[in-house]
Amino acid sequence: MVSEQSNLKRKNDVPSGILWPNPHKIETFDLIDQFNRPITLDNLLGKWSIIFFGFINCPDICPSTLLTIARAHSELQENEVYSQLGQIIFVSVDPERDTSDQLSKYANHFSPELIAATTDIEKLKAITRTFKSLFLKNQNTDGSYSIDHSSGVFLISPKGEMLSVLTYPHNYSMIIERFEKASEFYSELNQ
Amino acid sequence: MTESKIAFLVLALSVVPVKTFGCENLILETGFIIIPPPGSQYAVGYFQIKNISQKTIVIKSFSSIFFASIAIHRTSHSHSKKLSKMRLVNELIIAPQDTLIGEPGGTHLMIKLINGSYRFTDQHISLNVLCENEASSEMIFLVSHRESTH
Repeated sequence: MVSEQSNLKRKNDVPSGILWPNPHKIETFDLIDQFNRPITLDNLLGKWSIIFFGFINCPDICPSTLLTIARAHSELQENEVYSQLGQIIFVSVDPERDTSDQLSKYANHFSPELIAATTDIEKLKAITRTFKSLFLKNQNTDGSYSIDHSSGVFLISPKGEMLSVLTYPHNYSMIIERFEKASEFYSELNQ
Repeated sequence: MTESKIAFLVLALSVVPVKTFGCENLILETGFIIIPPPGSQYAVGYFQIKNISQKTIVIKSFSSIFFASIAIHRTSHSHSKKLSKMRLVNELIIAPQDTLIGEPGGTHLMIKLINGSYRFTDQHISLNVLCENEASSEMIFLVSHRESTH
């Protein structure tokens, strides 16, 4: 009884921006990172993950968002929980052009700790679905193409739960604040 | 003036095409090109352009011998679908005395590098702006590199 009341109180105390109760659970997925290592759901479990979808030849929001995420990741090294368990992941939705070599050079520009991964189109469709997102190739009249993709920054808990999605425009201090809220809330729930 | 004459005048004015003007009345208040991270073939250009004339000016394109191509793009965001879309824009219309802002997450120049690299050390680069009526002018953009966190 005490526990139920306590849980009800916690539901009312959910910080803004935190997707609770019943957070969406990320389903299993397969990616390959810039060092040709597999990245699966297991790589998220036990860690806090900040994830962004995009593609290397996206000139506008992708580099600015990755820079913002990398800065948040750097500043969050002062946070005890994040410094031990935090990771940042960039998922490329353009496997046609974004090879592991390209991803390696690109990711390192933002942070040597940025994991950059991709896979084939069908698997990418499954991954974006589990993130309740999507991507669409858009052919331009000049022969080039761009890809419509999520502009959200996803915050995933150590249990693989989508705890928050930050919408564009992004700001590193907002990412830090959201992580702090989410991790404190999560820590209270799991005490 | 009778009501019918007024009505005719209103109708006549509404079908007169908007007169446009050449590029010489455009002022680049700020403009910068950000060289892309390694691996990416596309730089991005942001700007603030003011039309100092009393007439509408239409920018049709940008070009430069230093780049393979320059396209005008606009990014839009659907918050309900959490989706970002980038589309080609055929022209930029700047109303009299108005300022057009090209900024991150909105209208921007998508600039393709020649052979995927940028080897120039110049801090400024000139872009040719083509307006309606074949008028053109030069605009000097500042070249910058996106900072990295390490």
